[in-house]
Amino acid sequence: MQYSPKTADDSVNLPKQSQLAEFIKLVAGIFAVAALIFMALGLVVDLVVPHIPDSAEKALSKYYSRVLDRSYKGGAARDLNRILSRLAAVNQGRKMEYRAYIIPSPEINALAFPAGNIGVFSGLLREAETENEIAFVLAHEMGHYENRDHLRGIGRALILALITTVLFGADNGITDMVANAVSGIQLKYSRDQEKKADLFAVDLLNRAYGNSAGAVEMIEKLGKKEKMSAAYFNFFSTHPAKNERIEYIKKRTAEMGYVRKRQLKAPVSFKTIQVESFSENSIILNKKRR
Amino acid sequence: MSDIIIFLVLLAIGFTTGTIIESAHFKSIRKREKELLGIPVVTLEKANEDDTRIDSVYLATGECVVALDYFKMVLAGLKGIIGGRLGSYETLIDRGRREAVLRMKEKAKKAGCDMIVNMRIETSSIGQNANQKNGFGCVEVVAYGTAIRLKK
Repeated sequence: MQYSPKTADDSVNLPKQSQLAEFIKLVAGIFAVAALIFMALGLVVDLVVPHIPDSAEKALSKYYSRVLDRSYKGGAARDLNRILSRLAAVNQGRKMEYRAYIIPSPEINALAFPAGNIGVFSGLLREAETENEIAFVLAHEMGHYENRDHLRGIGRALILALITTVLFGADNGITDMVANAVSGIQLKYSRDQEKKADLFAVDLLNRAYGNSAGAVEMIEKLGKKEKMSAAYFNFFSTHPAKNERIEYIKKRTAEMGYVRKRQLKAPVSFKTIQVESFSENSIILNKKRR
Repeated sequence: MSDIIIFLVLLAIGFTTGTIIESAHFKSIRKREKELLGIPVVTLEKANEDDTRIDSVYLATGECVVALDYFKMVLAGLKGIIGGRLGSYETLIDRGRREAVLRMKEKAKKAGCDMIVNMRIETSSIGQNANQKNGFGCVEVVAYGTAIRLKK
């Protein structure tokens, strides 16, 4: 037997495809499949949402108590709920136990939590000059309850969390990451949903105050303060463009013959709210596993 | 958001350093394999030599541990969903095996040996927690054999 030295043949054991190409192909493929499943299940959510009973929604709201319990208490909260009950009294739509909470944050924003719990950021209350403006924001959120937009948002967020958990496992960095991102996404609505809520709000505002003033003024303020950097949690960035909103609100006002005058001054208590600088994390709604 | 950025940065670092280190390692492996070509390594139990020609025998060992990089780990995680050839780990196993054999040969050469017989390759498992959270992955290879020095 003769030993004849030979160098190893690399071509057999080593992969031929570059790892980066493989990675890109994999990510694209998995993403495409996940997106397909997400869209399909999103349609299921739309079918299910109209049939969710109020009791289930109430149970869901418990998961948000972490945020709502930390809301600002005091005179301003009472004043805000007084405006809300004035709207709720004339609301001919979905009957819910509406409650408003002041979330300490400098952002100009408001959110519809499950079971009629409206979170208004203290930044919005400070910026508002009249009661009508704040009433418009509350009425806008009530419009979301009317169309159950908030449940659609949460449903889609749950599906996204579900897909990532199936793909990457529950105890995984990527799943944590999506869970965190979802808490911001889940309260973003489509332009169509926003338009519906806006028009609902204008009607409700007129019914409660006898005129629809405040709507256009509030939207002007939102546009002015819109910060793209805060888009992570700023759901107003997905609202239809400012001008578009003002346009269809004015159109509605003209069609329905609403008057736009006589606004009530905003309660003084709103101007004195102490904005403790809440970190971004404290507003994150999902339970963070760490 | 910061989580995503950290993830992408780790991925980029893993890919860049992983690729540089791997190609350098393969270059070194190929070069040393050529240099040590003169020492035959076989899995036969006995040398194909007359016993009277054998001067002495030694145990020659070579160990090698190669760590995964973050990119390879993520790639393997994704591949784990759909299945198929796991190329990112194959290169690692190849590096581990060849490096361990090379070190064994280098040891034998230092001892003045002429050949290695009855060569065996084994893997150990320090890095078993590769697939667990915050675990690290690595390939651990031990190569050993009987190094033989012939009478000159």
